[in-house]
Amino acid sequence: MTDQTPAQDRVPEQRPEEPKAYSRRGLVQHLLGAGATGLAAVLGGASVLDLLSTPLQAAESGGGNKRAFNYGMVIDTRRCVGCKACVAGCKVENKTPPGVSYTVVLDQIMDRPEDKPVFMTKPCFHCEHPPCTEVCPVGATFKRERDGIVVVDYERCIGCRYCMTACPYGARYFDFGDNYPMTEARTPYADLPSPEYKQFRKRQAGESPIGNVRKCSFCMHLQDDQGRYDQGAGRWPSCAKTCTGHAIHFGDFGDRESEVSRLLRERQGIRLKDELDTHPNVYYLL
Amino acid sequence: MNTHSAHEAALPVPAGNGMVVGLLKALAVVGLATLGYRLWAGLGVTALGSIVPWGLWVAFYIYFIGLSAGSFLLSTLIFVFRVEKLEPVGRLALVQAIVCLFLGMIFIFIDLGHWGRAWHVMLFPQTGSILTWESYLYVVYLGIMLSELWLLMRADLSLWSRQAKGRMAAVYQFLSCGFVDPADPAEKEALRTQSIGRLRRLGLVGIPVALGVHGGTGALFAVVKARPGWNGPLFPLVFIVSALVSGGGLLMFLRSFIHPDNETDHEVLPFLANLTLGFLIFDLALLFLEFLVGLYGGMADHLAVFRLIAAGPFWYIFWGLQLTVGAVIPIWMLTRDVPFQAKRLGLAGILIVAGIFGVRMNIVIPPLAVPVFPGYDHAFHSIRMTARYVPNWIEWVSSLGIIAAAALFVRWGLPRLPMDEHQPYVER
Repeated sequence: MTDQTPAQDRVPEQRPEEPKAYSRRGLVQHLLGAGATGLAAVLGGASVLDLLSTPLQAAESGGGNKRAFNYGMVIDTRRCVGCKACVAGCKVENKTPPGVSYTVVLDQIMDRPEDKPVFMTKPCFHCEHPPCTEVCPVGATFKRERDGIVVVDYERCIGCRYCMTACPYGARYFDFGDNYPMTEARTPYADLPSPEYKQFRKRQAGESPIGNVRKCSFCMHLQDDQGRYDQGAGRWPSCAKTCTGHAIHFGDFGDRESEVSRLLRERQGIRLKDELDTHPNVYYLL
Repeated sequence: MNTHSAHEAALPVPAGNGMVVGLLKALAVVGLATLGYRLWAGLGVTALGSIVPWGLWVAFYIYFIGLSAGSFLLSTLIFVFRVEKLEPVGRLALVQAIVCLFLGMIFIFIDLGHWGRAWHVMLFPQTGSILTWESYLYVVYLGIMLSELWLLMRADLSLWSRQAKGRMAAVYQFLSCGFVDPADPAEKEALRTQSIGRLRRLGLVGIPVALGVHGGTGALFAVVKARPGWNGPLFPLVFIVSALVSGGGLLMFLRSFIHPDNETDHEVLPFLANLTLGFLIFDLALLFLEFLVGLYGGMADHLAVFRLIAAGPFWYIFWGLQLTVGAVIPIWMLTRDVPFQAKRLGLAGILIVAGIFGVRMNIVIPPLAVPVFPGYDHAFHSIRMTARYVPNWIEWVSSLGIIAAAALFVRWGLPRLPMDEHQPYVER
């Protein structure tokens, strides 16, 4: 099944040589550098607080970024009507089984029953500091260097579900092997492959992605070879494409002229559970 | 020494034992068959979901790892700190620690979505994960324990390999790893002294490793900032203390019910009981602190966890199993001013062990059962999206099967191992 997939399209090809090697090595270098300057600073009488915060700031800036794209979303809750077209669109695109939904729509997110309802569509936030990839014992889930998308290598994943407990946003789902009546084995729909990660897997009992943790990949199978999406050609994350109220804006935060960058400049975006310092790449406009 | 008579005395099977063994055998057969079905069919046969992705098996995993680390740390009291009173239970504590480690590893193995890839952890380690470090620590820890047990038993094993006949002779030969006990008493004594020194050094290395093994299991949870019920520096310490509590409890039970020795029990057991009681009270103090700080903080997500534990649908796990069975009753039993009675202490021990299981359940499940966003568990309709996880019969029966099989294995193995120094070989 996966053997027929062209090698360059497989997710592991995008894997950094060592998982997270660049960020950790970078951090160590920063720490060493900061240690030297810090020592000088102490000798020079600088405050201990400065000394402590220097390596932190160095880690924050993520110096020497190899990122070609910085994909993310800006979701306008005022335009969301709670129709769940994004949920359906995602399901059709990624052929997810019951119990797995890469995006969900929450309502009642605010405690004000007498006022108009607020809906919130919630894909994976592809955090800058994803706590889920940190805990993976086998490096099966990681943040891609090229575009910052957090992916799962289905062949590496052992299904321990530690990442699910570590995600503060409930973006991860376990594939228990359940089927809809119309996608049960030996039905025509069961043979429809999912384009996920351009691997075109057919779900078969006992084989990945069954038994794996699954999540939103910003429909990265729709990227071209250079890693670009094309909204005009329909190669655009399914939820953003399907959104009836144009509430879901997708794009490259690295490009100052992109719609998402402009929205962030012009409007006040918030990130959920910002206090956890995960730095989500999905912002909400209230 | 007279261990001979003591052991012979222990041999006659008490009435009712046959029924217990029959029950264990039935459980083992049905449970292992159920487990086979689960391994073949996948995790879909469990009641787990995407809101509560860890359940009964993870609770059993940390339970047995805790029992193992606790037993091992108690054994270091003997081999490192030379607490002579405990010496008669040294080998038992080590055997218990080894069996419990295997049980813990079995439980985490059967919890994997792709158990056939468990080896990935060894081959593709991601050094940023506590789980990776744990996996490697387990191997080191097992190595230390097996080496210690071999050092303790090698002289007896070598002797037994010459006394036993047929297959068992080969087994003892294998277990002694080719060690031959010299006939010369002076040489014998020299080797014995060497063993004691090596045991002490191994135990010294073993202490941080065992603390790492179970403190690390606590850290596994403590580092998860997404779960307010887990995230905090107290958690690894709670794990270590509760490990000592459960390890002491199980040792009390095994010593008085499964492997008694009338000669030394009145010395060993009360000492062990006092030690365990102390750890238990310390553990309760930590529990109190956890609640105090959490309730004082008043963060909604954190409060929700305490509410689930104390007043949720499974409140009885906390008030009944954890506090009444696991703490109040054993504390009462252990502090009563009555003459020594081995079985009473053993019973108190097993109650403590049962109570710690409640602790483990409440560590794993309630913090996960509070959805990460209000209403997230109702975002779409699916049995896998429920915040109310109840282990189903497949999870229970396979768990009990594994434990029953281990109990039978220990029951078979203990009389066939030199559990006491200079224990004479008895044909079985």
